Amino acid sequence: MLSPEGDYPEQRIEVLSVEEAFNAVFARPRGVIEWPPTQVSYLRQYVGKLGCRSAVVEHHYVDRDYIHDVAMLYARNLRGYPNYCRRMHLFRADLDAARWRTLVLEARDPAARVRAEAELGEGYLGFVVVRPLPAAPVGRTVLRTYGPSDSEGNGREFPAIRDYEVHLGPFALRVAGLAFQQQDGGVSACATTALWSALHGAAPLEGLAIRTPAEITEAASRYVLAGGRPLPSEGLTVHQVCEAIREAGLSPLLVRPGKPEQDIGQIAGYLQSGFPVVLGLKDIGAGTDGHAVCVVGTKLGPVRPQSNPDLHHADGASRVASLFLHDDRLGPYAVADIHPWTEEPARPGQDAKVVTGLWIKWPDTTTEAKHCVLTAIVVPVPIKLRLTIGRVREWALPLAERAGERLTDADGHALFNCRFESAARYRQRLLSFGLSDEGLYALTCATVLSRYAGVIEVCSREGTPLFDLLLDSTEVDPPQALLGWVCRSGLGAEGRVWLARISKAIGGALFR
Amino acid sequence: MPTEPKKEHDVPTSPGGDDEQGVEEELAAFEAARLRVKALVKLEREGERVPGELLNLRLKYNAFAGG
Repeated sequence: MLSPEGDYPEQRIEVLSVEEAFNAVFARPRGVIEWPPTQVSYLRQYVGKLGCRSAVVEHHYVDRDYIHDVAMLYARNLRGYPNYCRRMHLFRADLDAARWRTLVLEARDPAARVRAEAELGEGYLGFVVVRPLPAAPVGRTVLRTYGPSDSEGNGREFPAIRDYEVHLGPFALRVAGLAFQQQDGGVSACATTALWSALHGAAPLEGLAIRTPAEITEAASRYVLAGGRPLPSEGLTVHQVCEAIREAGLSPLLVRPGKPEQDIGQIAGYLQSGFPVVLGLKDIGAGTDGHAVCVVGTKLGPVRPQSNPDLHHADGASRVASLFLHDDRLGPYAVADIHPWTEEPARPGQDAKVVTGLWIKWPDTTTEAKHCVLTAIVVPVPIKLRLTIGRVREWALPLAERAGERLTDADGHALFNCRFESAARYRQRLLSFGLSDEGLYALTCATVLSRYAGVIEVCSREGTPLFDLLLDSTEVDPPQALLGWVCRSGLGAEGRVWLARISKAIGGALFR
Repeated sequence: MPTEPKKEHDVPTSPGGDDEQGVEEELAAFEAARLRVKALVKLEREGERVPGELLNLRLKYNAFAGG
């Protein structure tokens, strides 16, 4: 019976060391359960790598995703599952209860509140929602990524992350990352959570609502019941993943993996465009079922030199040495090293096939990795993006080849990079390209670009940009999609003459 | 936003690039470049041909062995 004055939950905010906080929120539940779950151990290692020292725990947190899971599944269980979670905020600073209380009380003064937000925000590493599900406690988790380079100087890029605004007490904090969560095996399996993470990146780009895991599973199973009942989830087929993407208001772009060079080119192209990529994987030596992960970043090494002495180009995507992915059986930003893997021929007499292998690792790098091969690439993209990275690369290859052969600025081998970029962002970026007044004004104010422009960036061997070819991404094939050629300031006088000539030969406006 | 360093342009950029013969030659050279990379280009398009069995691939693993 509800009483008018009671029954509303009470909030309790606790400030703890990171060790105490993990022990408190991930206490071993009753029953025979392997404890702690792999994801909890991974998270503890990961936040340790980020330098986490303290945590603020909200003991009553209503999580949009979890409460929807409750409505869809857990509300009708015999056991009474709470409809709320706890949320653990992680900080690099040594916060304690007294300091937290002081910060809150001083926030009466607006200037003090701004100072407190700056102090808290500087070392804020993100949050972990802790669900009251004994076997699957890790709910929506947004954490900072690793830094821009590793200890060996290799670059790290996370083009598919975004800013999340987080409210804690009277403070608004921000964290740049991409949401991760563990599958619960009830409303979601790995494919649901991988797609959910991808939608967290792609849906806001188009102003779309982000579907909850329960909504994704429901949408995936609406017309295709490949494995019988939708709940509890027994995983999704690739077809169902595509259906759920379509229902979310985006377009499912499905690519069959080929050779490692092409696969990495595709993955890097979509990722550089800001679209998280869902990968279908298969553990080496396992059965026919697969696994799904969401790619959010790349670790970069040197460009692989051209091995064919008759060719004059190099692929910028060959810099990608590893992927950072959300693997829901492990954790967020797990490193996956890329290795070519030779598959045994299916029948005697057939040739062995070289495919893309991924070695997925723990943050400590000493624990043995999981070995998988790539089986599918699925990217949720805006509906009007008809051009594919594969088709953009088809044009980039001969263009870079010709530029590498012809331009002394390229130094023998032209490097190419392919991506989609919002027209608004490109117009801002081109302000620094060193264009003439006429060229700059024409491209910013007198040229209509598609919402996402296909960009082929051709650079020198050392990576200095020489020129861009802009493509209309609402077209299906590049020959009909040439919007313009844009001089970059690395292109010398001789190269500008050549660019004028090739733009006239192939078509498209010239901006210099 | 950092500005790209400018190169000196001591050769006129416009008239020399517009001659018809030069344009024809460039088109031919581009076609030759296309032929050199034809095998690589073919691989890029192959990924878009999706076989039925790929659509039916079930994604469901939940355990990370070896961790």
